[in-house]
Amino acid sequence: MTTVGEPTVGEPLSRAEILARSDLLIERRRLDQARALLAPALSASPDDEDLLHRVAIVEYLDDDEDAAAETVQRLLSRAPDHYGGRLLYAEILEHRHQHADAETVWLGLLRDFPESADLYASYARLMLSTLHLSKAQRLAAEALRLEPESENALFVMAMCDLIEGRQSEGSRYLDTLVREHPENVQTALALIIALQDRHDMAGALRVARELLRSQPTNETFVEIVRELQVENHWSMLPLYPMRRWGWAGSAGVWVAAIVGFQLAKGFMDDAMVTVVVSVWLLYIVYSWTWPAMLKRFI
Amino acid sequence: MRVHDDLLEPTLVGARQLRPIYSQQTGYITSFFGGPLAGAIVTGLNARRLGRLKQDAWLVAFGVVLALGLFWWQIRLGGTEWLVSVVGRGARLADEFAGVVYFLVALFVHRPFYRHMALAGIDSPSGWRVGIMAVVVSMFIYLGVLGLHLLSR
Repeated sequence: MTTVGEPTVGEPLSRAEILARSDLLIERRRLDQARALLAPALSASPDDEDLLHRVAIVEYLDDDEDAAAETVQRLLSRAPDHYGGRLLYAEILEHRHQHADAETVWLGLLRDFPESADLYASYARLMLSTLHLSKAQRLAAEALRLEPESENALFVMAMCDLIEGRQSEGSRYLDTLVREHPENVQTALALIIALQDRHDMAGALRVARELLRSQPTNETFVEIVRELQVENHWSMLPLYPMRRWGWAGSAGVWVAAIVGFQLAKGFMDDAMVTVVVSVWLLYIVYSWTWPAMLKRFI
Repeated sequence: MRVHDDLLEPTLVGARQLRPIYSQQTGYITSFFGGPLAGAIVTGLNARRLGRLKQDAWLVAFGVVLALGLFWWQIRLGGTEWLVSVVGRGARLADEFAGVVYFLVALFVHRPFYRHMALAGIDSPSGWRVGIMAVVVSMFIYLGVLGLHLLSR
């Protein structure tokens, strides 16, 4: 018995088998094996649209965005209507922050496939990432009308709820996302964001660790866990106002310090004032340097 | 497709395209070191990036009025002397304080956008050049107003 991607002896694989195996390898993120499988097949049939599509996916997942863009453009020059190629091209453009070009691709896809909930949800995500909250909501609502359990649309709606501060009263979309897609990465990410927003950093860290366990090599997840570990570290407690309220908290601490010094001057001698000012300056240095240092240590 | 026609209209074209705004850190540091005038410059740039310059014109004007009012109070109404006698520090502290207050007001107005950016994982553009430019421009304006004041005496 051979495992997926293992070299086989004997009959060469058919095109359909190569595509099926490469899909499995891509799904399992065995990108080197997928590349090794696809490369000879593509050399033999350089114009094969589906092979080009798989190769572009492998390149994109392997963070070789330029190569992926080149391959997908090669694919689309041969087959402008290739669905998967257009999807991937839109994603690459979004990733490169070429938002207007990505929008053109999404709109073209939506005109060709007007009943696709996933396309509405993907376009909604683009709107969400370009600060067009209202349009993102309307697109996601349309996606949910077409497919009430659409994971992408539920994610966008849950994010819109969070952005509008509706999380405190509970987001029915987040609830549905958790109920319908509990094992999904997007669900975990939405949960982490929601918990962070509620300042439940310990809960967010627990979910992030589970997420990392599911994909231990994912650098984004490693970074999320690291940042949450910093947030949860005991040494961050003195910086609570800044962590909780951001720069508004920082401004508040500064105003409080100025007022505090004026009041303290009345009943402290000069030596004591010097000590207090020194502690204050140390606190400022600590607040500027320690979080970054801690992130390196963790 | 009649119902969803507007949903399928391009949004990210020309003036309708919104851009991420400069970070809270940029706003805070610029306002702290440059006073409300520098803060107003950053706020104006943010409003422009959000395509709401008209809506936020009052906020920019508030920064300018606050800065010039403070300046007037310091040099004409004896504000600096009063501050030195009460707090022990003069003009610099007043600028810092007014800058921080202005930052808080601007933050309150733009808070939904900062929240959106934070939750959707949208990065702010680098604010170093803008921040330094705002502080330098505000310093030149202060110097200009001071020059006019000295000439008028």
